[in-house]
Amino acid sequence: MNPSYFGSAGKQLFGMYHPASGPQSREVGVLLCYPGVQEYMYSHWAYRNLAAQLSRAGFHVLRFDYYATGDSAGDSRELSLAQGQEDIAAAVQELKDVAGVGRVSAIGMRLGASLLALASSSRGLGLEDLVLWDPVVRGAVYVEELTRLEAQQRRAWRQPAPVDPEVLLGYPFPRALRAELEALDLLGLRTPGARRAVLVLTEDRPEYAALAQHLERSGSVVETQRISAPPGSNPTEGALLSDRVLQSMTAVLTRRAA
Amino acid sequence: MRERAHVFGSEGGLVGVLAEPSPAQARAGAPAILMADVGIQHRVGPYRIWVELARRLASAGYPTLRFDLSGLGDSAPRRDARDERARATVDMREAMDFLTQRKGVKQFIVLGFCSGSDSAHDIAVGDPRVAGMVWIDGYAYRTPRFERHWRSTRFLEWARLRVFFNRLRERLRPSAPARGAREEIYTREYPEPAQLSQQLETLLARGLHMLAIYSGGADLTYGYAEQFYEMFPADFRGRIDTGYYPAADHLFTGLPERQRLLEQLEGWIRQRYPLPPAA
Repeated sequence: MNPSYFGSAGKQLFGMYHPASGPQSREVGVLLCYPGVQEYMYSHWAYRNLAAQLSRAGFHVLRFDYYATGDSAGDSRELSLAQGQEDIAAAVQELKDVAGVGRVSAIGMRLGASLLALASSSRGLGLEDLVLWDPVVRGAVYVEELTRLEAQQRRAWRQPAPVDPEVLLGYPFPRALRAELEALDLLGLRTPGARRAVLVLTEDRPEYAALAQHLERSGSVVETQRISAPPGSNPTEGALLSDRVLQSMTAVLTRRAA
Repeated sequence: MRERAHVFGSEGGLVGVLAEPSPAQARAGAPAILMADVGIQHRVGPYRIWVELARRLASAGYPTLRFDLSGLGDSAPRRDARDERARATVDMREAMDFLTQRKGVKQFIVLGFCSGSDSAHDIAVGDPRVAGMVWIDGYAYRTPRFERHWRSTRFLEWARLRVFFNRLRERLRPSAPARGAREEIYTREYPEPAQLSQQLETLLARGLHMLAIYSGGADLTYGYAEQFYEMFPADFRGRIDTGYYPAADHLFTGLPERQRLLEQLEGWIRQRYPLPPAA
């Protein structure tokens, strides 16, 4: 394994590079973009496994922590979506540099998928394939869901309300970040920024069909893969623990790289 | 303060991030602080608590290594067949060896959360380089006062009822957390209080400082601030420091409690391990 810091001096990002390890190196890099901080804690293990699978399938893989998250520099209160998109751009370049590849695809989960789509659209990243795993299409809905989950947890732990509006599920949640999230709408993207997009969906949400249509109208070739999460579990946690989801993404990228 | 990622260990499989003071802040002889995974949460700690603590301590002059135990986080599994607890002890020892060889560190303070406290205790007992130990929700034994105040038999009955209703709620609403379920899914091996008490006496006689912190998340066995001093045959008042956060859950989800915990941890280390002035 190859952990290291990269990026600009004041905003060093932590990355874990997995070189291609299978019998055939595909000369394609895959960037993995974590979900938002409230979903980061239990996604780490799934991302490690996904990176290992992709590496064995012949891809060079980089997973990294956004600024102000994980091991990257920055206080948790500095988290911002705009910075997250800059970080994705920096990570794409880092992957090209360290792996010596010219072609990069990327996978993002939940808010990571949204940041990836935003960065790809606005920064001309030149990605081959954009894999959006249960993307957050409307940030306002995402905030509402996390707020509801927090209220449920407080009731379960018999903790009193009201809560601090600048804290969400144990993490600092600055007003500026709330405003960015409430303005986030993937249906407003003008260009997808990648030739091909794959929606990997473990949940059934009406906005996903609208997103697929929007990406197609914007010029992407869109593929949708629906995968059911293990029964009886929370959908997001089930998806993270399900090897089916990880294997599906590896298979999609392997097929496309062939 | 600066940070660097490292891969270390006899099998070259342990991954960690070393936060160090800047050269101007570095002090010869400063102890290093070690933190490892909390349950399945990797080296950043729940809500990034280890990252925040490491940066505070490194800025204050203490090198701090947060790392993943073998097979967890980003670290590779060990090739030998040790059990989980033995592996953790070996991993901790190799982390200390790494800092001794690379940075000349001679003394260590080990921090442990829950079962990580058990490993911290094991390594402290077995390795004289450990000069300090912090347990967060470490070993806890019910006392007569706990039994009286919390009416243990009826409390356990209530706990069972709570588990039943939580399971029912979980089936009806999968996203609601089941608080009582934790007693079913997690077990630890507890030494006898007398044996543990003797081990702590030995550690203190060696000059080790210790801080034992308990949260509201340990409320099945720990229920009041002074309980630590009443759990053991020996009297550790004035010899072992404690902290109690009844409003905090096991992972210190609440930001105010987490901030207070960080302040206590940093303050305790600064107080117990004062650094010499800069040269």
